[in-house]
Amino acid sequence: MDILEVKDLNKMYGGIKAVDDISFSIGAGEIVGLLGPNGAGKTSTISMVLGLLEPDSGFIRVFGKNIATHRSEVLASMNFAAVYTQLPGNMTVRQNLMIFSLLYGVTNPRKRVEELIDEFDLSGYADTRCGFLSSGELSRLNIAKAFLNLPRLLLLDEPTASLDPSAAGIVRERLLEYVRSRGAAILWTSHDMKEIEHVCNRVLFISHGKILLAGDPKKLPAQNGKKDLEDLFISIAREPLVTRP
Amino acid sequence: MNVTRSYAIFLRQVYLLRSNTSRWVMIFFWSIADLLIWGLLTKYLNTVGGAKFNFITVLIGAVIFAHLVSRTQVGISVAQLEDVWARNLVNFFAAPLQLGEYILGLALTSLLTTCISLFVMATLAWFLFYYNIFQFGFLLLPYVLILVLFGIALGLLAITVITRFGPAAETFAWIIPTAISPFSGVFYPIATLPDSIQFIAYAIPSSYVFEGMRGVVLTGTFSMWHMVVGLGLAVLYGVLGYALLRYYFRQAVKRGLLIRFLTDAW
Repeated sequence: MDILEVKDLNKMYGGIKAVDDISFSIGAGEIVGLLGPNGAGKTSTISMVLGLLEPDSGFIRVFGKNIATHRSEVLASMNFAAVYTQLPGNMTVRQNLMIFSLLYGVTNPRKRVEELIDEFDLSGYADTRCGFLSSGELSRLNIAKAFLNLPRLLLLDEPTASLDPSAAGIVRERLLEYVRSRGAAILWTSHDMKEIEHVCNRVLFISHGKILLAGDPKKLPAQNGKKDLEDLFISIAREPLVTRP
Repeated sequence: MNVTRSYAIFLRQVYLLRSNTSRWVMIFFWSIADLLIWGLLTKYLNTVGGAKFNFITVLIGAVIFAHLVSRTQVGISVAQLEDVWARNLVNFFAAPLQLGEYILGLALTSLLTTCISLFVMATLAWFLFYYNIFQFGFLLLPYVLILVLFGIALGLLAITVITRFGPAAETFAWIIPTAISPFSGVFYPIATLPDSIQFIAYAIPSSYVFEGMRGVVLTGTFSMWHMVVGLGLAVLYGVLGYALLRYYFRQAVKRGLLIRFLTDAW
C-alpha cells in the first residue's frame, strides 16, 4: 500500500489554477522530489497534503486514509519542516519541542525532546529563545521538530535551504538513514538539484500546477537530452513561461 | 477531543507568561486601575450630600464582575493573537490539533489569567474598600459562571473576526468589552436606558447578572429568572460563537488564508 496517494488534485485561487489535476503516489522507503520554479504549485500541494488547504477537487490518502475525514489520525503519523515556517521565536528550543511533542502525542516527551536536542546538536542553546537563533540553527530545530513523532511520512519544503554545506550534508545523511531504517517516505522540495539527485529515488517536475515530467533523477536528464538535472529543471521551468500568452 | 493537545496550547501560553513580565501588566493593570478609580469615586459619592446609600456595595461589585467578562474575552483573543503574531498557526494546524482542542486550550489559559485577576481585585477591594465579594455566598458561582461563559462567547466572536478579516481586525478584540458596556447595565439598572434600546440590554447575558446582583444587594431578593435567562443566553452565544468560528475557519482553509498566516483578507 502506498504511504501517500494524491489523485486528481485541483486548486484555484481566484481565477488562477495553482494545482492542475495532479496525481502521484509515494511508497514506503521512497524519497520523492517535488521540483518546479517559484509559484509552480509545490507549496500548495504540500499544504493540501497537510490539511492546511482544502482542494477544490480530488483526494489525498495517507496510509490509505482520506486526510479530509481522518485528519488528526493521519497527521499524528506525519510531520513537516518548511523553510518559510518558523517555530515561535518567543519560546526556547526546549519549550517548542515540548509543546509539539504533546501535540503529536509523543510518549515520554521529555526524554524524546532531550534525545533530539542531542541528536541535532542543539544542546548549546536549548534554553535560548528561538528568536535569537541563526537561520541555520532554526532550520536544524525545524527538522528536529519534524522527527519528534518518528513520522512515517515527512514533508520537507526546502529543508536545507538555510544550512551550510556541512550541516546540510549531515541532515541529508540522517534523513536517508531514517528512511532506510524505518521504511518511511519523504516528499522533498528543493532548488538544489545536486541534493535532489543525491537523495531522491524519483522526481516530479511541476510547473503552472501541472506535473510535466516524472522519473529517476539520475536518468531523466539523459532521457530528455540534457546534461544534468539543473539543465533539465531550467528548460522545463522556462518553456511554459515562453509559450504562455 | 484530545485533552493533552489542549494542554499543549495552555502550556505554550504559560511559557509565554513566565518568560515576559510585561504580559502580567495586561492582566493586572486595567483591573487594578479600574478598581482604584471606581473605588475612590464610590468613596467620594458616599460623602456627597450626606448620602444615606452605600454605593460601595453596588459599584465595586459591578467593577469586579464586569472585569470577569472583559478579562475572559481579552484573554482568549490575545492568546490566539500570540499565535497569529508568531505566525505559528500553520505549525499548530499541521499537527493533529483540532479546532475544538485549540479553543479549549485558549479558554483554559484565559480562565487562569481571569482567576488570578479576580483574586487580586477581590483582595484589594477587601483591603482598600472593605468590600466582601463573598457576600453573595453560593450565588457567586452561577454569577461567575454566566460571566465567564459570556466572556468565552465574546472571545470566540473576536477570534472569528480575526480569522475572517485577518490580523488587521485585532482592534475588534480590544473594543468588544467597551462596546457592550453601556448596554450591560453594569453600573445602572436596565430601566435607566432609553426604552428604544433596552432590548439590546435584554439580549446581553451579563445584564441579567448585574440586575440580579442589584436585587440581592438592594432588596435582599434573588431572582432565579434573571439567572436562568442569563445562563441560557450565555450558553446559546457560546454555541453560536463556536459554530461561526468553525464556519470561518473552514473558509480560511478553503481560501488558503491559514497558510498565509491569516493575512489581512478584507
